Amino acid sequence: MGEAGARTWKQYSILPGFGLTLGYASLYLSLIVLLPLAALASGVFSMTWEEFTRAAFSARVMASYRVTVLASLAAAAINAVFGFIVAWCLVRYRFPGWRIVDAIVDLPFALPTAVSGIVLTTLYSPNGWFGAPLAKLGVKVAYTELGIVVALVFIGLPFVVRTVAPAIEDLDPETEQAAGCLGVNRWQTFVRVLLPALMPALTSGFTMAFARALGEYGSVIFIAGNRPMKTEITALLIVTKLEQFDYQAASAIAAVMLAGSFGLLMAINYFEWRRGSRHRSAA
Amino acid sequence: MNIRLEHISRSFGGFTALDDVSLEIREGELVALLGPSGSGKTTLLRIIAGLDAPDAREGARIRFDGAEMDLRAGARQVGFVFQHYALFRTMTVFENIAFGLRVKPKRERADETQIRARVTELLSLIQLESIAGRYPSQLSGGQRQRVALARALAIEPRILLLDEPFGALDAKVRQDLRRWLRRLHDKMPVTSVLVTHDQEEALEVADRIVVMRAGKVEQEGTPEEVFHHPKTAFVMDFLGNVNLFHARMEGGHTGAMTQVRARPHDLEVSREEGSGSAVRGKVTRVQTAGAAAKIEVATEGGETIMVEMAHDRFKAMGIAAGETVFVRVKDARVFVEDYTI
Repeated sequence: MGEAGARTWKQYSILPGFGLTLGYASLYLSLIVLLPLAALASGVFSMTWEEFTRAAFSARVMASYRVTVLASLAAAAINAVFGFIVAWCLVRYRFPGWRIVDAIVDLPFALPTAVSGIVLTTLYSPNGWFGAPLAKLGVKVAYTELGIVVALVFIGLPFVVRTVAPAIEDLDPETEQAAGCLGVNRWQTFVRVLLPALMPALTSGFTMAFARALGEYGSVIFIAGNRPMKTEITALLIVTKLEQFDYQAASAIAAVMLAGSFGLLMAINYFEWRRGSRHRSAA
Repeated sequence: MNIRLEHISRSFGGFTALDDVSLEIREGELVALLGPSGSGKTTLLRIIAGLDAPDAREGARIRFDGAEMDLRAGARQVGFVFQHYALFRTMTVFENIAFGLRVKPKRERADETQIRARVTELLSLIQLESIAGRYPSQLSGGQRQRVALARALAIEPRILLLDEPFGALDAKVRQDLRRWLRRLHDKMPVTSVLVTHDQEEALEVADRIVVMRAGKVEQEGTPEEVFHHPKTAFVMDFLGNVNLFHARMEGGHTGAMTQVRARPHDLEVSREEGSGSAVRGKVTRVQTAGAAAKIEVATEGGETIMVEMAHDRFKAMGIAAGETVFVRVKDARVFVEDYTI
C-alpha cells in the first residue's frame, strides 16, 4: 500500500494537509475564477467567426484596446519609478508623520474607484485646481489620454509600493558597505548591486499595477471623456454593449481582453523567471 | 601599511563602545582584536574601515602611514570581509571578484584581459577555479567566505579587515580556513586586522593579539605573551579555562582573602597528600575524549576544580570517578585588582 502510494506523482511531505488544501484550492479557484470565465467562453463559442471578429475587432474596439493597453503601460511604468521612490523612502527613513504617509499609500486601495474618478476629474478639469494652471501652459489632462493615465497612476501606486517595500527591507546593508569598501560610489552601488536584487519585486509590482490598470473602470470613465476612437477604454465598451443587451459582443470583447492580459502577464513572468532563475536556485 | 589610532572613542546613545583607545598596527602584521561581545572590537574595525566615525573628541586621529584620515564615515577602499559574506547575490563568483576592478574610474581601470587574468589568479588562490560561474546561493559557507576574501583582495587593498570571518562556519571548516588564512598571509603579507571572540582562533592565526574589554584595550602582545603572561585576571580568564582558588595571603597583606588563578594543565593530581599545601577532593567526572584527559574534582569546600593531564600519565595513574585525590598547584597567578563582569 505504502509502496504503491510512494510511486504516485504526489510527493510525501512532512507538512500534513496536502490533499485537503489542494482540493479546497481547486474548488475555490473553480467556483470563483474559472466558472465565470467558462461562462464567458461559452458565450463566445456560440458566435460564428464573422460575428466574433465584427464584435471584437471593429475599428472602434481596436482603438479602445490601444488606448487601454498604452495608458496602462504608461501608468505602470510611472508607478514603477515613483512607487519605488516612495517605498525606498518609507523603508529606509523614519520621519515625523511616517505612519500617516504609510497609511496614505493604501488609500487608493480603499477609496471607491468612482469617488477617486470624480475627485480627479474635478481637480484636472480646465477650471480645477490643477487643471486651470495646466490649461494655461497648454496642457489638457481631463478628457484626454493623459487623464486616463493620471487615473491609472492613482489606483496603481499601492501595488508597486507594497510589493517593493518588503524587498527593500530584505536588502542586506552589508552588501552596500562591501560595495563602498571596494570603492564604488552610491549611484553605482544602487544601479549595479541594489537594483538587480530588487528587480523581481519591482517587476511583480509593475505587473500587478499594469494588470489592475487594464481592467480599471470606475476611476477612468469620469476623467476620460469617453470619446469613441480616442479616449474610450475597453472596460467601458463592454459595459456599453451590456447596456444595449448585446451580451455576445460584450463577451467577445471581454474574451479578447482576457486572452491579451493573460498572455502579457505570462510573458512578463516568464522573462522575469528566466532572468532571475539562475541566482535564485539554491544549492 | 602602518595604521595608528589615537584617542578613539565611540558612544551609541548612552553606551560607550570605545573609550579612548590608542593602537598601532604595523606594516605587514596580522593583528587579532579579541574580546567578548560588546567589548568594542567590531566598532574599532568599522572605524578603521571608515564604515563608522569616532566621536569628535580632542586628539582623536586615524593615520594611515602617517597621513591623517578624514574621521567622518565614508568607506576607505580597504579590503573588508564580513561575517555573513555580504556577496552580491545577482552576480557569479567571477563577477563578484571582478566587481571592484570593473567599477574603477575609466582612467584607472584595467582592460578586460587584465581583469580576467587577475580574477583567474585570485580564483586559483582560493582554490575555486572550477566554480567561477556559480552564484553565491549555490556555494557552501566556507566557499562563500573565500570568495568574499578574494573580492576584498582584488582591489589590492593596503589593509585587510576581517570581521569575525569564520564566525558563521562549522568548527571543522573554521579550523581549515584559519590555517589557510595564516598561510595566505605568510605568502602575501597585507597588513591585516582580524576581529574575533574565539581565543583559539586569535592564538593560532595572529602575530599580535589585542585583548579588549568594555571599550578599552586590556593587553596587547604576541600570543605567547598574552597567554603565558596575562596582565589582568580578565585576560587570563578570557584566553582559556581557569580554576579559581580562594586563599588567605600570608606575609605582607594582613590575612586578606585573595583569588588565585591556575590553568587546568598547571595542576597536579596525586593519591598521596605529601608535603606542602594540597586540596583534597573527590573525582566526579573523567573525560578522556580530546587531546588531554580532563578530570573534575569536587573539593570539600564545595568547589569544582578542572585538571588536565597528558593521556599517558592519566593511564599510568588509572584514576576513576569516585576516588579521593589531592590536587596541587604547580603554577598560579594572583592579580592585585580583580574585575567584575
